[in-house]
Amino acid sequence: MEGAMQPQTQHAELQGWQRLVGRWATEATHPAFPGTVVSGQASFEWLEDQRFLIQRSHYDHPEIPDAIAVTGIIDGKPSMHYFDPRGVHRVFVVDITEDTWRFWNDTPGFSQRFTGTLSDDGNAITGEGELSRDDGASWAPDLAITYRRIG
Amino acid sequence: MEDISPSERPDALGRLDVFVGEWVLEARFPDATDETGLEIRTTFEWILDGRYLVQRTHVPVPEAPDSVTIVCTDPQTGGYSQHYYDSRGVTRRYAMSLDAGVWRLVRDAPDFSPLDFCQRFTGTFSDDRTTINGEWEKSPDGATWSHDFVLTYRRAG
Repeated sequence: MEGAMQPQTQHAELQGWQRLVGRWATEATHPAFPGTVVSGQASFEWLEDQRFLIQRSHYDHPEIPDAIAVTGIIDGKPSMHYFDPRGVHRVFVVDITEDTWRFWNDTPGFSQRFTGTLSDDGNAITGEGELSRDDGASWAPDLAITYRRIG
Repeated sequence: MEDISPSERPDALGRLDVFVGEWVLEARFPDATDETGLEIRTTFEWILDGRYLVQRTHVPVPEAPDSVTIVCTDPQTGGYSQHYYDSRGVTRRYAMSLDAGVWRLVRDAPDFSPLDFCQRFTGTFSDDRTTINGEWEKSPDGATWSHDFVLTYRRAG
């Protein structure tokens, strides 16, 4: 679980995803809770054979839902299946490169996008989520999360 | 994100408690001369405040995939769907039911993968809930089903 120090996945299109593997301490802010910084933890681990990355997220706040997400090549596209305890299941398109981790969907009336920027040493991610209720014409801040590697 | 208030746990989830724990799986294929002799372990656990049942299966041979499944409950209907992900990169979604000790999974429509063939599983819990006698079937058209393999769950913990 040493993240970027581990051997690369054998699937070329997923190689950059190894950069997320490991355990992270998180700090989140949300426009609904001005001035509040919510601590939490996140982990990314491969399912055997490294075709799916399983993410668990926990937030120390009763109104920000914990979540599990599965990222892989799904129906030919890099995708993330997101599940949270409200019974919400969402499908996002994913793009992970050397220094960014992005996911988004175009759900009519409720589009979301997230851009995470990895630090040069791979031990921090600065992430901003945004939300659009008018199909992408305008975007408002949603959950913002910074990740600091702890394992 | 939006609507970030916790909601009540649907009753339909409580019925899935019967799965929680560790099981040993035994698969028997019709063309095999005897049982595979493999010890396949599968574990069910609740995650995310008991909202999702997650099953992790490890098969100790390279030609059979490990898998993770996530069972979701539809709050409107109380019905279940099982999202399946395996180490070959396969993603599927099965409609699932659990009624009177009979566990059913069926996939008869394209989901996140093309539908090359239909599949269904029927598993019957023993009275003491420590065994599930199951069978996978397949069908080219969703109308005519044929036996695929027998899958037995025995509770290990």
